Amino acid sequence: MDGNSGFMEAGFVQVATTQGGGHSLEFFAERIVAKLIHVSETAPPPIRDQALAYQERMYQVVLDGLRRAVASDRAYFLKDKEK
Amino acid sequence: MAITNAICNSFKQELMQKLHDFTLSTGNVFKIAMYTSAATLGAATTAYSATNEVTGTGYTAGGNTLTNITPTLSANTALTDFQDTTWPTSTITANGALIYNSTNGNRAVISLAFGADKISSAGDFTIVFPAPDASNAIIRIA
Repeated sequence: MDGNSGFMEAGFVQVATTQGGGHSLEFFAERIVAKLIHVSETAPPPIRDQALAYQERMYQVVLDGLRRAVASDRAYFLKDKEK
Repeated sequence: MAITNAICNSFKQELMQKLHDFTLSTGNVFKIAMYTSAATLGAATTAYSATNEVTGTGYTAGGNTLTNITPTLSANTALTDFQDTTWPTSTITANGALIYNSTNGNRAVISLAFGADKISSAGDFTIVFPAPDASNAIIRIA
């Protein structure tokens, strides 16, 4: 597609639903990382592999942070209820 | 009755009349409303309507306010994006959605087809926007 070939296109959303509770921490970690880094399917393999490895590392860091945040919030909530 | 995935024709014209601004914080307010399978939405849709809009626990008519992502350029393609949006603790059945500009007369932007009824039951109903790149972003101009 060159700069003179005009088009306007709509992307496709996905829907994620749950029953009887909220999404898992893994879901949120995946979505956060997806917003922070996107790896092109057409990137040269060495760059793509490195980016995917970085993406996986980010996922683990974000997931760990979310777990700590939830645990901290629950501890605060429980302590607050004891008062 | 059907919901198709399409950029609304009126939106294409209105862009040239500078009636839509997707800039984060300083731009217009865009909302997303969800609809049942009885709705008809597509390129010919021109504005938000409450007809056949979803009803259910955790859902308010008019839908959720979206968080804009300031448009960017990827090579020859201009694109914009929104943050994912969730209706928490909801009981909803929806077949599609409409993004519209609530700052400017509820003008329609894009109709979104889910492909089937999607259901939340005392849980989260989340719309996940595609990767913000030149091939997948929710609105792309090249």
